[in-house]
Amino acid sequence: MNDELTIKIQAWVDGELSGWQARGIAKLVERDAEAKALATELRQTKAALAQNEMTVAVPELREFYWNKIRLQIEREEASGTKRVSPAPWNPLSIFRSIGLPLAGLAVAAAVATVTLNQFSVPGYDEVTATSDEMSTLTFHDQSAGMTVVWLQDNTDQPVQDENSVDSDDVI
Amino acid sequence: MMSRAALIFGLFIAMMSARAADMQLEAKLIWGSNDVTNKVKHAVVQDPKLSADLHRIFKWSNYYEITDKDLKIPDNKTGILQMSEKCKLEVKNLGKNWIEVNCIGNGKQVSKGKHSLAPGKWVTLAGSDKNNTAWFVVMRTVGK
Repeated sequence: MNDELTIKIQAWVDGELSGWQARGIAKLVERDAEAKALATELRQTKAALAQNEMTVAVPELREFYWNKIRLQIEREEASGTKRVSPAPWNPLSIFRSIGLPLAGLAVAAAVATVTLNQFSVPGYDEVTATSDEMSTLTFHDQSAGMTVVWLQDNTDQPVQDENSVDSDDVI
Repeated sequence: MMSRAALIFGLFIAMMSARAADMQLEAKLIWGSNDVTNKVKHAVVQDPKLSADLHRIFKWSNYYEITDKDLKIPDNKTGILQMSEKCKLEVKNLGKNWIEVNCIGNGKQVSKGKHSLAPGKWVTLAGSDKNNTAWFVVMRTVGK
């Protein structure tokens, strides 16, 4: 006999099955010796428990017993204090309440920092703005390790010095 | 669990400290000229390598150091360098040896750009000036 059938027989003995299920189990118990034996044993156990269960009575009147509880609650509410047993000092619980949120915050901040950093730093030198009169030329001299941004003023007046040269010849 | 969280927290602190490092910036205003009489008024560039590089890259025969300034710029902050009466630089430390330079001449923006300043490397803003002369603003990080 499987567990499911055993449980159904228990339910049938306790009167918990619906009509058609109860009828099915009743037929099974009639024709199956093992099922019948189990049902009989369950009925006997149930009867034994029902007849021998101890009854414990409160040694006070019912009203007096509940009245004591109500008075105690009212006293504590009036004094504004609640009896809370102090939690023992526990490093693990302190870490859980403070350390874990901090660690989560740290991870979130680190991710945000790295992400923002990716956007704020360009990948190469760039001139983002010049005045209207200016044009730029950027080049890198490898041996000097020098990046040069040459700003050419397009409104330059022709120079009068005898050493003067064209603007294209400046660099 | 506890050790893992502590490790993550430690990494975060280390990361933030590294990122929060100040940048020590050196900036020079240099004037290029072929006129040797200017030596009387200004000293030539003292850094021999910088002087050699300027002579090799550009055409002028003399390079005079007008101003030499140092400035500590905290991470993500902007420092101001008054290089001359007319020339002012607003330098923002973008972190990881990157700067944003706003070059201002005579109160007007001349240029604005982002530049990498790897240790020992120079970034130069330059332009021609009157009488076949030129100005150069050279910048690099120092220290570390």
